[in-house]
Amino acid sequence: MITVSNVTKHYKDFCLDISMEVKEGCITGLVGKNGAGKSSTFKAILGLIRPDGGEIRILGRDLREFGSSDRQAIGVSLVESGFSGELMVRDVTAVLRNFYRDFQEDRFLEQCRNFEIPMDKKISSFSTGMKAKLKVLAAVSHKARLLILDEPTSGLDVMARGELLDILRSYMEEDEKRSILISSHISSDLEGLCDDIYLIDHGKVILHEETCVLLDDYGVLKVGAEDFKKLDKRYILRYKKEPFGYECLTARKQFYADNYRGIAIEKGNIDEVMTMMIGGEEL
Amino acid sequence: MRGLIVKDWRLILQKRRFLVLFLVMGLFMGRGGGTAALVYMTLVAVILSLSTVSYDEYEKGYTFLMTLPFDRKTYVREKYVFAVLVGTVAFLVSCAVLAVSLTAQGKGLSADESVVSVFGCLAMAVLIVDVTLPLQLKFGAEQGRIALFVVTAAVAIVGGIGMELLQGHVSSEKIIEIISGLGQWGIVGCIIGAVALFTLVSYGISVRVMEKKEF
Repeated sequence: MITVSNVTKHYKDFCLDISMEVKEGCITGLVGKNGAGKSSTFKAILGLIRPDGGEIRILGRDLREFGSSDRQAIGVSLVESGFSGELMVRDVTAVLRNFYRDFQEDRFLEQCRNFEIPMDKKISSFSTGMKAKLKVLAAVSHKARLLILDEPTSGLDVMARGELLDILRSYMEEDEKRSILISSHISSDLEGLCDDIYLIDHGKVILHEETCVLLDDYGVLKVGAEDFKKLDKRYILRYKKEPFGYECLTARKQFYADNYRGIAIEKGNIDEVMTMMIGGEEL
Repeated sequence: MRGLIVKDWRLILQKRRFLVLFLVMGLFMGRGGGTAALVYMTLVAVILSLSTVSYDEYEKGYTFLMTLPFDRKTYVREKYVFAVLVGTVAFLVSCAVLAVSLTAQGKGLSADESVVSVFGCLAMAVLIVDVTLPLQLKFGAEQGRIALFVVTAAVAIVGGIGMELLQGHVSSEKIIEIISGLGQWGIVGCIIGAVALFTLVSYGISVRVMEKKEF
């Protein structure tokens, strides 16, 4: 659905150099700390910035040939931008009706009501959560084949986040050929939703892994200085010195569990992996 | 383009208080039967239509807007079309106000006055769009106003210098004589041609500006 091949974009103090893929029928997550290049990646994929090099293909077409009718097939929600705050939901409905051939107006309005989004208030008066919900509901309102969602759960409480993620799951269940590219700083959202995860830092992909592998096979070993010296380091991705000794990130936690009886191993999760991959040192 | 027009139309309708005030002012100015209301309403309506660029730009609005199903050329084209549409609606409304007012007073506009007023007013409205839009798209709504001021001042200065240089070489009587020789419809034709050419150049610049822009 999306192929990003060696895409580069140079800024004064930042350089994006990224390759990634979103497969058909998959939800792909993009994680990284603030300023890692997530938004720049989204902007490059959406044609909002012009890369200095590389190639981007969306739905089988080169991005440079991706025209306005092709855009009917994508739904977008961006964290820092949306419909004008001067508009109301009824205005947005009219706009979407005139933009999208497959706009499901009744469903959109019903979902807005379910989420208690006011119809007759200006968007500028909405809470952050309401704005976020409206953006996602608009993105899923026109039978898009591909959703591109930058921080869609930002500003939402736990309940609303759950509801929103359910909408995304339903969206995927309706058509197995649909895909989603999503970024979030709330890693638990991605762990329960994504098929694979890209971790980016300083504009580069530093890890790409299937979510189930990341959660099942990755782990953080906690060892003392002496044990660290004796440790088989073939499967250690990063290590970090701590007051008690060392923390080591591994993609083969079972290997260490089997071979080092009594070793302290913490189950891997996106936050741990991200912290170690970015803050840890390579052997 | 329909989606963009609906969006802009709905944005303008949010300024209901301003629209009512604008209409009252127009009616007030038109009650005497002069063409001032015609000019006022058309020009203000066109300027109002251009304010939609500020809304698009506000709070990084462009970033999302440009992901919707239209290309940048269509965005630019819609801005010109929308300005003409809004200007035309305001022009027709003010024509109606003028006609009612003149009929009520038992007066009528002379054919000469009507033609000159109509085309002068419309040409001015289109020229405002032609100059303002590329500057707003290039520099943004806020800085665009400063740029517009600079451009207007530059044109006035260059025009003044040009007139100074021409003085003595070409007599103003001669120019007036040439223009008079064109006749009323000849002048109108020249205005239409000049405005059309100016609009084409302006549109071309606006498209270039938008296509180069990153969001």
